[in-house]
Amino acid sequence: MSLLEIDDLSVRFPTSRGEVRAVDRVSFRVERGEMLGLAGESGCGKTTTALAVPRLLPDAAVVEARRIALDGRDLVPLSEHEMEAVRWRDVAIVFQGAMNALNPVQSVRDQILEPIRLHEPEVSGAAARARVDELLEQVGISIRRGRDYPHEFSGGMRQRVMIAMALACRPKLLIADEPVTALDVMIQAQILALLRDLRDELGIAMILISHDLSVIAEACDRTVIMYAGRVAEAGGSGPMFEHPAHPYTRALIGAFPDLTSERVLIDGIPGAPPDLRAIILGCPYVPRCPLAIERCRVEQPALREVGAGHLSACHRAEDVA
Amino acid sequence: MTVDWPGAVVTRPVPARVGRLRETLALVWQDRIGRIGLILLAFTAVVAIVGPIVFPFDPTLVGKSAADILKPPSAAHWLGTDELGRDVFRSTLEGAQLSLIIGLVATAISIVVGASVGIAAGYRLGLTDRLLMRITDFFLVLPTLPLIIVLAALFGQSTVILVLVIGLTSWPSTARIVRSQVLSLRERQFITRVRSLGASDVRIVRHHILGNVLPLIFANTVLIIAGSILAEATLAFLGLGDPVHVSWGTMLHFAFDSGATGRGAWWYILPPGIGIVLVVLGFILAGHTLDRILNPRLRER
Repeated sequence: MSLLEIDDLSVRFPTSRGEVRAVDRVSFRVERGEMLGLAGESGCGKTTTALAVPRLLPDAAVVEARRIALDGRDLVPLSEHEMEAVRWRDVAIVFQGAMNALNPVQSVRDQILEPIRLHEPEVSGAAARARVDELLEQVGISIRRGRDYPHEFSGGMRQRVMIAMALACRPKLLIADEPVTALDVMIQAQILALLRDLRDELGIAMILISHDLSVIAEACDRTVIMYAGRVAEAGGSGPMFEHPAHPYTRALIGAFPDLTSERVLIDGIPGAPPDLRAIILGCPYVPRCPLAIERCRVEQPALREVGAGHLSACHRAEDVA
Repeated sequence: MTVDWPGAVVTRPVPARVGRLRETLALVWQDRIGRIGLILLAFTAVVAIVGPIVFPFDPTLVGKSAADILKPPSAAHWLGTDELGRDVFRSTLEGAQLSLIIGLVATAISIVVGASVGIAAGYRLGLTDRLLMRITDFFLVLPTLPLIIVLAALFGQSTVILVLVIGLTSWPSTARIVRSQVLSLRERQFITRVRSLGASDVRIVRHHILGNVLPLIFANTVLIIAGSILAEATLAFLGLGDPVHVSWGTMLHFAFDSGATGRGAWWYILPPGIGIVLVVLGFILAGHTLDRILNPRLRER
């Protein structure tokens, strides 16, 4: 049994100018102790998919799912009150943008303490404070800095604080939404190393959301590539980046500079993702796809196995190479 | 794993809340205008607290003959005597105390009401917001002077009524400023994060909103104190203050009433007048500097 099983998750946003299908029948699994990468360009539904698990989407969102099971327990039928207990204790989130997600006039210690206070009121004050010290140590911040305020920390340190806060109630699953975006490359590597260390140490599973494939490739065991609210390709990071089975994945990889090869022009992906308000008949990638054939326009490609644990939603997966 | 990375910002450890207040005052002190304000305020505070202890004022100690009335300054009476032959210097010190107390208490009422209304309206939005803002508008246009004249006629002249009226007519500006700040705060990401933690509204307001609007409230408070002291002087001058207790406003009232102006008794009119000017100036100068430091829109970095 996987730790997290998402089956046919759809999220729609009704707007005055039509309904936006932000996430369209997405299914994937997260194994215990696994780091799963969720990649794709802006607006492809990465964050929406992940935030649907702890039910943290805005009220306007219409969420439908056959099943979202955490540790074998289906979360879909749970009441809002029951969900409160799941949130943070089982599923915690490292929010996007560490600066804005911290209260500027509260010490970081008190902010890390807050989830414990709210979700585990039975823990004594001394025990909770001891745990905060332990958490600070775990994320590599010296304990004496706990009294400091967010503006006294660098971007990387703030991100560490956010991670400590997410770990406060010892969750089984950590959702990290763009945890290293807006950090410089050195700090990115440190934060990713920290996340991996924590995974090894604590055995928690993580969903790492990023638009940056190099981040995903560096940190994640498995990767799910999303396009226009659908899963385009999923599989083990190594084999997938080596032999992509979806033209979109191939194009994304092609859009990154390669340090070891000759100087070549980087291939962009021409065009833009489709308007999610429109009903897409075939494959949403057709307008930008060099391999598109007539079948792609009329028949939506289903996710199918193209290798061991490697799934692709492309009619011509075998021709991508 | 307790390494400070080279990119980490190195700052002084333990900047407690007390440190923040001291830091703020230090910033005000650095500003020339702010420094003048702080000096004036410190001077007035010492005068109002220590003055009446060193030079106690006895209102029953009246002059024995007509010769003791409205006497110019002398060695016995440093600032002369009033129309009852009482010492003006001592009554000025006594008046400083009451004027400041009225100003501070009225401001406390004003700030508590204003901040509560502002936070409630900004945080709850919707019907609460519309209702509270219309009430605010009502109080904003309420004419203070006619109101207190009516209330004084109804309840008699009393310091309590004076304080209540000043306090209850000066809160709308605070409410509006606080509301606008809360409106932007509530959409900030850290509030969303805390809400996702399942924190109650009361907790969010107490732990997260309040701390962030406090500087704004503080800066506003200083300006409101100045307004309250001025309002007290105005109302007392018109004879709406409590005649039993001496404040700068009542002193001016009796000075005017007894014809001190006509008789050239400048020593009776100038002390309370200058006192009011200095205190109000002190609060306004310090307040404007404080506003410049704490108001995010005016802050120059």
